[in-house]
Amino acid sequence: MNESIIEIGSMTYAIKAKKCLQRAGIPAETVKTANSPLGCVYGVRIPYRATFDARAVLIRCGIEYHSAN
Amino acid sequence: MVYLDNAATGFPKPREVTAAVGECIKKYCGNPGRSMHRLARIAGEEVYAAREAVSRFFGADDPEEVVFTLNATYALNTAIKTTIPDGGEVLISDLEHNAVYRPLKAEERRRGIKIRTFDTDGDIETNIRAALTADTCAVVSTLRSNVTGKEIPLAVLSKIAREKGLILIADASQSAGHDRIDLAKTPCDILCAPGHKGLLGIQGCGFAVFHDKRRRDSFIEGGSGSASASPDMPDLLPERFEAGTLPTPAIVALRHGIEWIERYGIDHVHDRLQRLTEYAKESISQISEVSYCKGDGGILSFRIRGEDPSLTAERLDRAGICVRSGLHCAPLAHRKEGTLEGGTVRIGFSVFSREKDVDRLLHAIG
Repeated sequence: MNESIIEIGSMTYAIKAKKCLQRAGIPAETVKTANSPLGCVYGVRIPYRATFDARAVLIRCGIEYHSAN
Repeated sequence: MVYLDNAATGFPKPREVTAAVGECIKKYCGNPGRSMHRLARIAGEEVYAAREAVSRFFGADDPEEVVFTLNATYALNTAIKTTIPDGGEVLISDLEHNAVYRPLKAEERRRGIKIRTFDTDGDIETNIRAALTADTCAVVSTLRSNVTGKEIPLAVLSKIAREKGLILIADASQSAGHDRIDLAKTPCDILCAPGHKGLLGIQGCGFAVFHDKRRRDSFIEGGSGSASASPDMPDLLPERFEAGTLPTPAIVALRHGIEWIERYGIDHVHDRLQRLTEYAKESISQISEVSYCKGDGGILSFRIRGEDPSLTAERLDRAGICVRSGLHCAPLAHRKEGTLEGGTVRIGFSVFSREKDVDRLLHAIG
């Protein structure tokens, strides 16, 4: 598994998350999944190895995330 | 042609705005926040960039505070109807546009909201304080009249609202892009404005900056692009208030209009409009047939004795001069000014207006 997807919510917050992660030096791109119980969810795709750090960055940026796979 | 109706809608637009809109329509205008293909991703990034531009320009905390709407009227309706509590007493200025007055009147009928007005003649701070009661919970006010150009300083409104713990909803329809507004220094709960007037964007986009972080009921429900399995609108701004497809080209235009003003300088815009208005007011007042003339900050209204303003406007149109006549959707202002019968002829300047436009107007007035 080389990549991790962190589910965020709306497109707006996924883009915000992407920018926060990129500023912290974590490569990220926005993605969309339909796997959430609530239906379509936007998130970010990051390198798997950066998952732990990415969660910390998102918390610091005040971005809630649903799950990180 | 001389265009002096910028208080209705701005014209012309900067080249950068028209180019950006053209680029959007031709190259990437997918549906932002719905699909995830390349065109939609780019559209989504452009919408976010526009949120950042609005947030930065008005001193908001976060781009997520920026909710895009069709226009300022829609933004004001959203703000008023999701913020003022049932039975709440609201203070408005005596110059309000129907975009403020009509939704409040509708809420008066539906939810028992009470409306009081404050006098905008004389010292505004004194007048606002005199009009407040123990039951006042909110102030909804224009920052500049669309009829007379009279300014109601956000600094005064903000100071009183913070002191008294009042909700403050500001209508920046005639101020945005003309007067400096910094929510970090002079906060209000919600700032509403159109994209197509002083901000030099195109019709089809307005916005509300929800600076107060309150939780609100949704105003309009529909597709939001995420959490679709839920029967409710998303909890968080901005999507909570953005149902349906966004007007992406108009949002792109708004961003580029703001960036144009940032490069030109908002204080430079303000000073230019002030000088033009003073020149027009001084010159028009000297015409003996003019029975009424009042203006400030880029807006001026006048009447010619014995001539219906609509006929004056028609005459000016034949001379190639675009102005607006009538009540300008602001009967409260005309009632205050004594011009309710027939209204006035209104001039609205933009940063692109020139003194020679005023000279041509003077010549056409005769």
